[in-house]
Amino acid sequence: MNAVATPLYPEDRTSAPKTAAADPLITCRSLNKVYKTRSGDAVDALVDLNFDIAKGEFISVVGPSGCGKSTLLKIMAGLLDYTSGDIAISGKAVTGPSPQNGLVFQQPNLLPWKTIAENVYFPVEIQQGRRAVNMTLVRELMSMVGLKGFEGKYPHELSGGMQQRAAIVRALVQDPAVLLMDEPFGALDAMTRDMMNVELLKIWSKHRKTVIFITHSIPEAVFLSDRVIAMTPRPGEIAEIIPIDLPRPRPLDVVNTPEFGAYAKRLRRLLNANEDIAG
Amino acid sequence: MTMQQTDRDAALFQASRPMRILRRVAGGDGIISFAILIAILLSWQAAVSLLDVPAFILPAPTEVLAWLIRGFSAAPDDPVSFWPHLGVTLWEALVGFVAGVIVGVLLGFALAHWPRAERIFYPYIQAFNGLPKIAIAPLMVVWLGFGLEPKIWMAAILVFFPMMINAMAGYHSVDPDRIDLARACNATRTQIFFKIIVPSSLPFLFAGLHMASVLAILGAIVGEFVGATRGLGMLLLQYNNNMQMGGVFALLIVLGALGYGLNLLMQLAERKYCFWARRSKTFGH
Repeated sequence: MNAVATPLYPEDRTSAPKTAAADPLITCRSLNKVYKTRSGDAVDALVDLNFDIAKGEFISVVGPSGCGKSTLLKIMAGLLDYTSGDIAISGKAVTGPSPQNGLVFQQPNLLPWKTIAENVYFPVEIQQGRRAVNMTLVRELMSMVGLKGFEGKYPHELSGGMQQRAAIVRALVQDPAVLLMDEPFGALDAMTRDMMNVELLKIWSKHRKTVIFITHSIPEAVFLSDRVIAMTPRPGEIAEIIPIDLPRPRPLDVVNTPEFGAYAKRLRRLLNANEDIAG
Repeated sequence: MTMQQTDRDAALFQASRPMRILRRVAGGDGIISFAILIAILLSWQAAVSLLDVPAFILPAPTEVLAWLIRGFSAAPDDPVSFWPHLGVTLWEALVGFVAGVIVGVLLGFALAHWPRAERIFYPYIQAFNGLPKIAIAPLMVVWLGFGLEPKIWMAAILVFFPMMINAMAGYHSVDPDRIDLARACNATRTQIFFKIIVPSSLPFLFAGLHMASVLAILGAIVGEFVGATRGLGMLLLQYNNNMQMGGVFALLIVLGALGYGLNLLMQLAERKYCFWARRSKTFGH
């Protein structure tokens, strides 16, 4: 687990004297995405993105709304085409959806007509049929996030936090290599959000998934990540990739340490500076 | 222990559902509704006998009741029996309902799926929907004769439009995130349709079915008004022409009960298959 992505920016090299990843899990080279509007204008959504992500890394992508961070996630999930450049996961170019990715949405996005257990095994049902469902694994995953006994309940009977936990285990049910999360806790209240962050780190350290976590919350990004990709607003470019050298496991009080504050401050400055340029 | 607990809760939940519906209909405010009905019937009876209203204008409730009892207790081959007519009208409404629902839903989904087709055909659909469709009933008789077909067609046409429009609205209302969820699992188009789009559209389809259940009977009755040898609509018209208002009122009550019954059936189906949608709403709407 000492493999870390190749630093692409000089700042990284000075601030993070880490060894380069010989074999990164995700590589992204000169990635561009141009949207065509209805009137025929071309709008740059993502411009020249370059980064490598090592296996097992926790990466957050922060940026103001409209910076294209969700677009980037959808491209990685194979749900959206990119205009030019290369993006590959496990050495294979992303050409479409793949079971090696687990996707978590902004909303829990559970199907209301299915029970929680049915929702959790929905990806297996779709890809391999209902017979392939391993109920023991489903129960195990559910009890891991404290949803034991809720297998037969329907989504509307659960709180928002519990629904999002079910959505996370749904993303894990096919044992994906990469967990792609699009502002998954944005709709939760602050207390629940803190709890979910701690829980997510627990799951991550246990399962050692590579996580790409989209957020607009700077403290959340610093708390969770090995590295934070900061993006500029419209068009979405990478402003800087900042490694977070805080010891793990991280308890919640890490947010009160001066190191944490320094990282948050640095990110905030970075994002504000770019906001000013854009505005 | 906890599993047992949830199982028992689930069993209780299941068992109490019909009971709760019954209680909502009968208990509480239901008593007040019933009292109002009694009051209306009593004052109606009193008004008819005190003011000496002729029976061919307003029959007394007791007379209507007598017609109802006769209509339902007479042997089916007796001309005053409602049964054969009820059977004919129900059959017309039912066949028209099923046909209209199937064609309406399929076409609605198809149009919503192919936006180009929707753009091309939608103006025609809207124009035809704006037409008071009852006005086609005489034409149906010319084209299809006096048998069951024109009534079935009327019912089907009336049912078709709300079903198609609701199917389109349902298709368009599907949360794109749900589609992305299925796509991310490599779902085929067929899987996306049956596992995401159809269930997501159910609340809209049920809204259409509520309307359609009433419209199916309306279509059958209108078809019978225009020209028929059997059916409740034909019988109603016959009593009306004979000034047998007791019979007319009795048939109106039968038709009302029929519509109410079909609507209740739709509500029960909705509770069973679409219970997740209208959680916060109260019974009925």
